[in-house]
Amino acid sequence: MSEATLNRVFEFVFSSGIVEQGFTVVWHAGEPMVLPVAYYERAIEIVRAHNFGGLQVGHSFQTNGVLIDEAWCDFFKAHKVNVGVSVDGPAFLHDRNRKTRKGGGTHHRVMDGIRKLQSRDVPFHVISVLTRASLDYADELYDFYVDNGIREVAFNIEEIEGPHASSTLGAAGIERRFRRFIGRFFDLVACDEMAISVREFDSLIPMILGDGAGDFPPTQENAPGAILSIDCNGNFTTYSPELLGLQSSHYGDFAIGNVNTDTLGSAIGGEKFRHISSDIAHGLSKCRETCEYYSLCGGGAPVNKYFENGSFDSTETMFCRLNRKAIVDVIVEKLRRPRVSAIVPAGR
Amino acid sequence: MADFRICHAARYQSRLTIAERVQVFDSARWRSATAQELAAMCAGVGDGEVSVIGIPGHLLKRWWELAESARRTKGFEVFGTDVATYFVYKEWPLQAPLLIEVVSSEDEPDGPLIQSRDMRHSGGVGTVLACINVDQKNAAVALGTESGRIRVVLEPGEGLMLPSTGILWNRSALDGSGLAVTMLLAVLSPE
Repeated sequence: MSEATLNRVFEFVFSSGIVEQGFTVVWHAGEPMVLPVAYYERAIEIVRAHNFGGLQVGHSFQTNGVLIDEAWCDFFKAHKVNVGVSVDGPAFLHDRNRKTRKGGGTHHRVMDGIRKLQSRDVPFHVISVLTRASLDYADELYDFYVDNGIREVAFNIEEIEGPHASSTLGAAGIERRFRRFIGRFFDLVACDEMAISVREFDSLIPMILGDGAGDFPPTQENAPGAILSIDCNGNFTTYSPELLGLQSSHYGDFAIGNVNTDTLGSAIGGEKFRHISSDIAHGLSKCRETCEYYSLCGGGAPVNKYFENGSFDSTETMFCRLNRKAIVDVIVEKLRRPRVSAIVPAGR
Repeated sequence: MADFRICHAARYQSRLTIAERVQVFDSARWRSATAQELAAMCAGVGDGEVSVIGIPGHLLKRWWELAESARRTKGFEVFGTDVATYFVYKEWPLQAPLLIEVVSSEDEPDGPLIQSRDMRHSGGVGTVLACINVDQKNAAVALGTESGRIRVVLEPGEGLMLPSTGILWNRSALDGSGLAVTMLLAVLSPE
């Protein structure tokens, strides 16, 4: 994204009226760290220059971690950047899917990056993508996090989106294995007095217990304007961030405007936004009426609905079945009864 | 060569290959198995399957914490349950009534092989279903075959699932020194 576009983006954001309180800029894309530290130093200056109201603006990086060095650690510390590193567990799981252009695994380079963050006391969390191969290795994943001093973990599932038209988690029998994995991982974390923070557990347990209901919405992806995603050319959209850059037969691309040519008002008054938002609202309404997990889910992710079901105006997806229903069911079961073993050793 | 098949258990991720593990006792010394011998051992059907398994690092660590602590009894019971639960998660076959015990012995290089069946345990007589190296160093388990003796090198926490039909086995020291600590999972015979 050019400096001119950066300037226009933040002028657009701060003048749009969409931000009354603070917000977080998530530098995402393929790999944000392929650009130099100096680029982001300048970007943060630009954000400040347009932030006349003195709103609290945080910065977040989601990175594959392979380029982390001392300069990046200095930058992260100086700007209190929320760092997320993508690592799918031990090398035998991670290197299945995360490879260099020559086909080698990237795990050792990611771990080098993580160790640099740790040596400089830069807080970070990891995101691990669960594939079919991961589901038999809850203990190996747990050992990996503990042995490497990783204390904050988020699990993403291998989703169906855009060109990623299938998922290894879409196979028959996967839901049972997914539930076993989540149950096993929950037990391991619970036995360790929740020493590892798992996003899926930490966010759902308060909602299930009713302690945190209303404190935060189950998802922002269904709320127009809650997330604004902007690409390097200034094209923008809202709802699921993954929508930006994908193509569809119904809508063409999902961009609802461009910061160089449109205002937020003109974008949300446009035909494409009204079409998309209407379909999403109808799908959301169906979820609300038909799904008993709605209060813990908030209606799922529009991007999954579109690319799995062919329409925003739809309900259940694989993401719902696994990342919401299965996890909720497992947590409820675990909270209802103490841990029991299928086989009791002799003599007990 | 072997009258059972040697393999890595399903859902166990091994650091070593089978070729790196299996040794053959030949002319009074242990040597690596040849490709032909390995092919025969890995393809055989015979009386069952000897599969390499492993307990995760957190369980191995807990075992040593328990062994070195003063308050042992209750902790061992919970630990045994957790080992069994791990096996259930991995869908490795266990049978009730299950006995889990840990035995220590002098780590001798070539002791006599013993029957995994009808073995006397602390809780009675039964059949060993699995033996696990809980030492903090590599160890080996020797197995008797129709034509001789082989052994399987095991890293800390690794073990062998043995066929329920019974097999000749024993620890086999790699360096012939120290104490060998082995966790046994056994199914007790009906009295």
